[in-house]
Amino acid sequence: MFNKEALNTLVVALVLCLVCSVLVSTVAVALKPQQTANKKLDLNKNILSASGLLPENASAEQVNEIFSAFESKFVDIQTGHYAPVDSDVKIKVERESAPAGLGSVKQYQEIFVYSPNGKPELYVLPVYGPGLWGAMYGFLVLEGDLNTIKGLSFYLHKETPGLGAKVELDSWKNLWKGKQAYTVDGQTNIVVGSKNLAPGVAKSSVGFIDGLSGATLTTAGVNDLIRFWLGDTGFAQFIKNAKAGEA
Amino acid sequence: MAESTKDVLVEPIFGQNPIALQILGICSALAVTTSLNTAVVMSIALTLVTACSSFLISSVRNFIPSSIRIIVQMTIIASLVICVDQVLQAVAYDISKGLSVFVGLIITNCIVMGRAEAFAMTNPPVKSFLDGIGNGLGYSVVLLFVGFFRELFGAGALFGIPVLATVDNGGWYIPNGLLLLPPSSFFIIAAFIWILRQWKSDQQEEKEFKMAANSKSQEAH
Repeated sequence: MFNKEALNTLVVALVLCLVCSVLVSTVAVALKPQQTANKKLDLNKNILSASGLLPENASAEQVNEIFSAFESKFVDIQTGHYAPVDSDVKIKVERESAPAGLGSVKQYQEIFVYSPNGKPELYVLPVYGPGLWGAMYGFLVLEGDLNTIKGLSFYLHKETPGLGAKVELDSWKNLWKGKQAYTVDGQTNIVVGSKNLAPGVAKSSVGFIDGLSGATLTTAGVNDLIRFWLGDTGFAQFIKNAKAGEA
Repeated sequence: MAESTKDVLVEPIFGQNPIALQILGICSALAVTTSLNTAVVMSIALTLVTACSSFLISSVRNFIPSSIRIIVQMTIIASLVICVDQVLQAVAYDISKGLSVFVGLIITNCIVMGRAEAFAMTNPPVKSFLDGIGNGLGYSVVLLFVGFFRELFGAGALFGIPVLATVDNGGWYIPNGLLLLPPSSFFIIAAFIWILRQWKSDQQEEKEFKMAANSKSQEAH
């Protein structure tokens, strides 16, 4: 059935696959701890940067030291109360209220609370949703009054370098500082990009943030995901509870 | 092959530049040249992969059955690229985030495949290794050239250090947004090729169409 040439081909293919797979898996396994540490460090850096607590050229030790003051807590976004444990329970998202492509979210979200003097001064809320090329993951940091925005930072996204990837630029992130997340009557106040303003609404009447030029779809994605997470679908209930001191 | 070792190494930089003469590997040259940092890392990664894959393929070239030689080359190249990607994620996480998919796409970079198929399959390992380095350097020259202009005039910086004070930061320079977009690389690469072919005129291609000497334009009837 096999002539010598065919057998030879098979043997070469087999040996090659074996050698290559051993090489690749050795490298992957050997470098895994370092990569996990890098990811965690990057995450912490982003939290600190959104909180305005990241010193320039901070070393890994500095980042971890400052970050140790942040307390990790889990919030049940349906009841708006702190939950004792993490779990993987997911809630299906109603289609009308969801940014396109966000099918379900975890019921228990991990947030970080920074309370250096006993009283919470910063709340770090995870926000995520679809951008142009893939999901964007970030943190929205609210000040102790749970209304004033301290900062925003995306730590994982696939937006176009030079266009949508400008969500990483400080000059754009600084626009968020000091904006009010909610109006006096509790409505979500933030609108990103003039195309996403409801007709007839003036920029000055809401917490308006300029979109990124050349990145219409990324801007729309940020607008949708921020409004999703600030709205009743996200942390609105928790924020109401926490303001009343009942979280 | 009568080429000397030096020629193998140096010739691809300007004489046989993979991007400028052979017009290979354009896609990553468009994508990763918005800043010099990413361009440098990408250049190093590609040079390493081209050199090592050429070396490995050349050392086993007498055992590779011709019916599966492309697959064998791809497997070797892909394994090396995965290793480079993993190392980058472990050592230079920020830069590997910036390069995103483009490190993975080295696998399909025409330069790597082209050198493996055209050179490494018929030449001894060390020579193939040098050929890989040379072609990697040729690629790097173009990447750095393009990256220099795109970062300087697109973002007013070099290696992330501000050189021209941009309006955003209270300076005078209005960055040219086009240079941050991939199409701008076409203009810069074209300019590079033009300059190169003025200098090395043997690279100029023959005209495909030539107007006849005594042709006269006529009114349409």
